[in-house]
Order: sequence, then C-alpha cells, then structure tokens
Amino acid sequence: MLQRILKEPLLHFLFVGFLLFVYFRYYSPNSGAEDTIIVHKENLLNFMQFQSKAFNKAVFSEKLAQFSEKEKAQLINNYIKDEALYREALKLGLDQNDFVIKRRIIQKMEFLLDDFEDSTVSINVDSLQSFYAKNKHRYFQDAQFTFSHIFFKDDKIASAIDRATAFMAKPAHQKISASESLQHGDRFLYHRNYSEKTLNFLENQFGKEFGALLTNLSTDKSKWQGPIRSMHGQHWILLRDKSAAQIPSLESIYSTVKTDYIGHLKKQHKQGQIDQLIKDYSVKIDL
Amino acid sequence: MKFHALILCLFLYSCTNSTENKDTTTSATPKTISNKEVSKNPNKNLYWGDTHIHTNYSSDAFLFGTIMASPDDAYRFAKGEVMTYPPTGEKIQIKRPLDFLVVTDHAEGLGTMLRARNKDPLLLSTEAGKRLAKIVEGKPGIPMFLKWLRAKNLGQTGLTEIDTGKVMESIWTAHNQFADDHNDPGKFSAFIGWEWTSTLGGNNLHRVLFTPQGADVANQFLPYSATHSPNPEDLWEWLEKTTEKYGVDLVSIPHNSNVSGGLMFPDDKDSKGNQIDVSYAKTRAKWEPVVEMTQIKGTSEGHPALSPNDEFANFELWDILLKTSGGNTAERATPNRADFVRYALQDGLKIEENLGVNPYKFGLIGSSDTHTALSSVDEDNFTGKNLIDGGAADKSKPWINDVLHIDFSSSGYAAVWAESNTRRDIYDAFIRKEVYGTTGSRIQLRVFGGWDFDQKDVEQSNFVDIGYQKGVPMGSDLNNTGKSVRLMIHAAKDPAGGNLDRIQVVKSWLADNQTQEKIYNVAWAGDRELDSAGKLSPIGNTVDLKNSTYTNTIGSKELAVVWEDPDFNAAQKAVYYVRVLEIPTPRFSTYASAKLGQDPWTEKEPVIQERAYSSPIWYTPK
Repeated sequence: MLQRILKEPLLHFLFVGFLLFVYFRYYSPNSGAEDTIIVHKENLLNFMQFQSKAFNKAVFSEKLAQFSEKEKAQLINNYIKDEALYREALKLGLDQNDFVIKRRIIQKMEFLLDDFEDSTVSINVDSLQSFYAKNKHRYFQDAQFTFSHIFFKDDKIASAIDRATAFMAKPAHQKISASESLQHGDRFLYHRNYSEKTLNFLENQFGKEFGALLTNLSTDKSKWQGPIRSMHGQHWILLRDKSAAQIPSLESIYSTVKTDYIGHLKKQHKQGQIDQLIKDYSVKIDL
Repeated sequence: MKFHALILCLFLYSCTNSTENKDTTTSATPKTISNKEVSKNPNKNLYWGDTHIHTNYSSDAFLFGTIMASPDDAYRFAKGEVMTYPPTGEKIQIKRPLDFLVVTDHAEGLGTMLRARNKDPLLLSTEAGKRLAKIVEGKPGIPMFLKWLRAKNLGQTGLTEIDTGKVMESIWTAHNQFADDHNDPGKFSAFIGWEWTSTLGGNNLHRVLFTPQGADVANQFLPYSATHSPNPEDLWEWLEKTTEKYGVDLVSIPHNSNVSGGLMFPDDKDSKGNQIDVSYAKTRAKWEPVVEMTQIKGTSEGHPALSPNDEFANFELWDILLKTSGGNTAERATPNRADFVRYALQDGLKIEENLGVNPYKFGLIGSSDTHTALSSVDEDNFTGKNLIDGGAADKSKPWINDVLHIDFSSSGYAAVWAESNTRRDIYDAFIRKEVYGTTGSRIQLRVFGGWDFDQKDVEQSNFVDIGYQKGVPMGSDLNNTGKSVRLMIHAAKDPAGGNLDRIQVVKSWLADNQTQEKIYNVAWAGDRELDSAGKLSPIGNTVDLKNSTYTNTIGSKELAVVWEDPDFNAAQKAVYYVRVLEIPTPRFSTYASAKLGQDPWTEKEPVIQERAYSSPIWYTPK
C-alpha cells in the first residue's frame, strides 16, 4: 500500500512542487527584493539622468562626485522615495488598466518596428512604375498662366465696367503691347504681368471668380480679352500662354516618386511586422 | 566642463528627432535642359525666399536626429512638395512655394556627422573621423549630442583638421551639388551658402554667406568656419582674398544681433579690441550690405527700453544668450544699443561723421534659421525651430530650462525686388539692398525716395516707372538735394493674410553729433486721426482666440502715400526705413492651443501684428 502510494506520480508531483515552493520562498536569489531598496551608484546615476532628461554617464559621474554630503543625502532620499512609491504602486496594481502607461509601451514597440533603414529596401523599376501609376493623382500640377492685364478699380465714381468698356472701344488701345499697358488703367495692388503662375497663386491675388473666368479664355498674344472681373475690379487680359493642369511623366519627377515609394515600402514593412505579431494571437470578438 | 555649461550649449544647437534615414546622394528631379532665355522686368518682380536654413549637414541638427532632413528635402519642400513631418507623422506642405532658398549649414564640421554615420572611408582615414564615427554610433539624440560636445571641448573632434582637409573638399562639393541640381533659372533659385558660426564668449556673431555662382566656382575653395577664426574682421579678410583669388562673389549677412552681448554693431572697438577706423568701416560696408533682422529667435529691430516712444517696439523679442552661469534659468541679455539694427543705423551716421565712412549702411531682410530643413513660417503652418516642438501639444513645454517652445517666433522671409528669378539677379538685389524683410507675412512693399514726388504719382498705374525715374528705390542713397525728403510708399496686404493697419516711417538723424529717432504714422486704414503727439489709436482686433480665426473686416487691402518729412533739415545726416503693420492676427501659439481645444497659453501675447520692414534710404548733406 505505502509502496503504491510512494509510486503515485501525483505524490511525486506534489513533493517536487513543495521543494520548489520552499526554495523560492526562502532561498531564491531575489529573496526579499520586494522590500529591500538597494542604492547603488548605478541607480543614482540613472536616476539623475532621467531627472535631467540628459544622458551622459561620465558627466553625471563627475557631477555626483562633486556633490556635497548634504546634496548626496538629498539625492538618495529622493531616489528611495521614488523607488518605494513605485513599488507600492505596482503592488496595488496601479500599472494595470492605465492608458498612459499602455500607450507608452506601445510607442516603444513602434519605435522598435520603425528601425528599418533605407539600405534594406531594394527598388525594382517595374514596381516603382506601378506605384507611380497607382498614385498619379499625388503629382498633379495645377494649370499655369502667363498674361498682362489693364486694371479698372471698383471704387471710382464711374463704374469699373463702364470705364473698362470705354477704354477698349478706342481702336488704338486694342493694339497696346504688354509693356505699354503699364501706363494705362488704374494702379493695381499686386502685379501687372504674371509669368507661369498657377491658378491657385492667381486666385489668391484676384479671387476665385477671376480664376474661373481666366481659365475660359484662350491664348492670344495680340488680343486684349475681357473685361473680366476680380475681387478688385475689371481687367483686360492679354493671355500670352497657358498650360492645362497635368500629371508629369515619371521621368520628370523620378526622384520624388522614388522617395515616396521608399516611404511606402517602409510603411508596408512595418504593417507586415505588426500583422505577423497579431497572427500569434487568437482573437475573440465578444461585443 | 560642467554640466550646466554643456546644457547651455544646447542653445546654440537645435533638437530634432526623426526615425528616417535618407541617402545623402539623392539627386534632384532631372531637369529638362531649356535654352529659353529668362525674361527680365526692368521694373523688377517680387521674389520670396529664405537665406537661412539648416539640414542634416549641420552637426547640431544631425546630432539631435534630423537625419531625414537633407538639403535635397529643403529644396523640395521650398518648391512645394508634400513631406512627412517627423514629430507628428502628418503630411506637411508649404502653403505657397518660395522663389529662392539658401541652405546655410554650419561650416564647422559641415556634413561630418552624416559621413561618420555612413562610415565614409575618407573621413575614417583621419584620427578625428574615427573618433566621430564612434560618437555617432546608436540613436541620435541628447546623449549623442553631449558625447560630441564633450569630445569637442576636449579638442578631440579634430575640427581644425577636418574643416581644412580633403574630407571637407569632398563634403563641400557634395553639399554644393544639391544647390546646382535644384537651381532652375526663371523658376527657382537655389544658392550655395553656409553659416559662419562664431560665438565669441557666448555672444552671437553668426553670419550666413552665399554666392550667386555654381559649384564649378564654389568648389575651388572651402567654406570659412569659426574654427579658422571667430573674429568677423578675419572673415572679411578671407572674403577679400578668396573673392580675388577665385573670381567668386560672396555676401555675408549677420543675424541675431539681439543676443550678441553688445558685439554685433560696435561704435568704438572691433571684436579684437582695436579702434574702429576707416578700413574697418569700408570693409564691413562692402561685405555686409544686408542684415537679417527678424527670424525664429526673435526680432533685432529695436528695444522698448531704448525706444520708449515706439509703442510697437515690444514685439517678438528674444534675449536668451548662448551661455549660462549655471542654474535652471537661461542667461538673458540686457538691452544694448550695439545689439539692434535701428541703433546701428544711427551709430553708422555718427561714425560716418567722424571717419567719413558709414560701416552700417545695410539693407534689411528676414529669414527663418529653421533647423528642420522645412522653411514655413506662416503662423498657421509653422514648422518650428527644431522638430521636437512640432506637435501642438509640445508647444507649451520647456525647450530648455525656463525657455518654452512658444517663446520662439514664427518668422521670417526675405523679399527681393529683382529683374528675374535667377541667382545673379537676386544676388544683385542684395548688393543693391533692394530687399526687405517680413515676419513671415507676404506683404508687398515698394518704397522710393526723392525730392519731387507729388501725391498724384502714387495713384498712377505706372507709379513704379515714376518711382525709378524721379527717385531711388529702397536701399539707396538720395543723391543731390531739395526742399525736403519725400518717400513714395505703396503696400499691399499678403493676398492670403490679414489686412493692413498702417504704414510708418522710422527716421533717425544726427543733430550736433547726437543720434535721434522719430516714428511717423504716414498712412492708415479707417477714419482714425492722429493725436497731437502724432500717435494713432489701435486698429481694433477681430481675433477669436478660442478658434484662432480673424476677419478682414478692419484694415485696408492696400495703402499708398507720398510722405514729406516735416522735420527735414538739409544739414543733418538722416536715414529712413518703412515699417508696415498688419491688423492683429493669431500667433502660431494660438493656432496650436486652438488645435488642442484650449485657451491660449498666458506666457505670450496671443495675437501679433505681422510686419514688413523696408531697407533704408539715406540722406547725406553735400
């Protein structure tokens, strides 16, 4: 009977378990770690550096060596206080369910995943080409205009539209060159000649309505067109050149696309690593 | 070296952090070669730019982790490309592209961090290079910076060896290539330049330098650094020799006189203690035709303590010296005439009276001095001094000790009147001083000085023609004489900004060898009237602090005037510059607090009146 009991695996298991319990309860190398605060020079140096948010052991060693006894005692007291409070907080489980702590740890993990250098990315021309094809919209270039204008200001006694119309009714005025045009009309607050300016730039200076009206004009180097209105008044336009909005060829913006592509690959790589991590978990959604 | 002394040096340097690493040899977009002649406008066009920005070629920026921000990125961003902003990961883009840019990385150890990091064999063949490579192992940040600074203070970084050696030739050549690749005559001017970073005894004597020529010319010499000499007199001597020897044109632009500890604009002794003489005055005036008066580290126009009658003098001041006596507070400058542009213009008249030459005959610009490589100083799109203050939530935190990120200023830009957007034409405008500065707002400003303007002239559609015919543009001397100085001034609001409040003329003159100043309100919005002292009531304020918005329901979109000096005395030397003020708009710190849904931080004024400062016009009795 006793022999049978002694051969019982469950008893062996319980006996080994008891030994382990005794060992860890009384002989573990970490025995008492929870209620002993050890003040090493290393601890103090770390403590100082984190407090100053500056890190250089040699400098802080020197600083510590120069401390008076009183300063050193103060530093040790602060360290002990922090350490005791921290450990008590852990015992109370205050680190659990704390969003800030959780966020911080996640951030650390993301930093680890970010550490991915350019050199490990190899680019092949075909995939760059297809990246460009998929992301063409990102490289959109606005329409551009080159023109001169003669301006009639809104706040004169006669209406700007009447004055503008009367002005161009004179045949001689219809033949005015761009450079001669400076002497005619009212003072304009910005420029009289615009060269290869984007619609966005022009709408800043003239207003949205003007942009739309200008877009409707066709290029004509010798004919004053209009008058068209802006937020400032009426304008006769000599539209010397315009280019439609376009998406430039890959060749002309190659290195921009390359940079974007590398950024894209890095992001993809990081996401891949995160997905890999998630795979090791079984996720249960219980809403 | 004491810890505090290490920390103080942080002021000189900026902190950035980013996790990306960028190939240093990325070249610019291949350009199609065009033989198209760039057309010139004799009446000059207005171009906007920044002559002062840093990238990962600056040791300080690199050590704090601006690994991603190369000169290539700087040009791309300025041209309008969308970038990823490291502090927030958000997309960032300049709202309106710039027309020109000078990348001015610190010459001291230029590009060596990047080379050390990439284990460049040429750099590693030097003893100093080997040491640097050890320093830059691991993650950039404050610990790495301190390691480098310690080595530097022990003389172990071998800056002298590096700044003058083969390695620097190779780095300088690479740096210059970025500018050449991005230069696009008629569309965008990319200049080769650098910063000479002399901090004599913690006093800021920094200058940025640039050339209108390309790498073919610039590669013949190495950039002159403070390692060669920390004295500006030696820099000028080098300029004299180098320009002569290599046929290169160069210009030197002092900045942050506000923290020069009284050394930037001396009226008595030079930086070596020698009496200022004719040669000093001539040399200085020759090499330094322009001063950068407003930037992220504040305004250097004047000081309320020294100009008590200027109610707008207390504006975006910065007094944090690049040194400290220790402790947890920054060491602050005490107001000193030699630290500010207005008094330098005045003392220049006085020195001219005694020596016959005015060393301080300079024009004015703004620029950013950002260490992020991203030059955007719009209040609602400010990229910051360093990348660490980029996120809205970080703005109210201390940068270091008792200095907050919101103590910086979202400023400024250089505006240039030039015949075309080419390196040469823009450079020539700097030499002519037909340039002006703004605090970031794109206020358009024209000033002409003369004797015969009448009020009708400024109303003409071709008032610019009249300006050049009857007078001289900003930055010039009035030749001959007349009854009284007249200034024809035209200002238009930033098309995307606030309306204008007023135009002021700041006049300084010499009476019985005493300097005097007076500020005249000469044109303003609304139906306000001057009081007996010539003061004008405030324009009002439409700013909604909670949402950080304003309306253009007050102010004017355009102000123009022909002003005649009512106190003109033909026997007195005088200098005039124009200051244009916008209506109050939200400060960048207010945009940040609004983004967080908070009230503005109380440490700073929540609204500012953006401004433009013209280059001066001088009158000298015959």
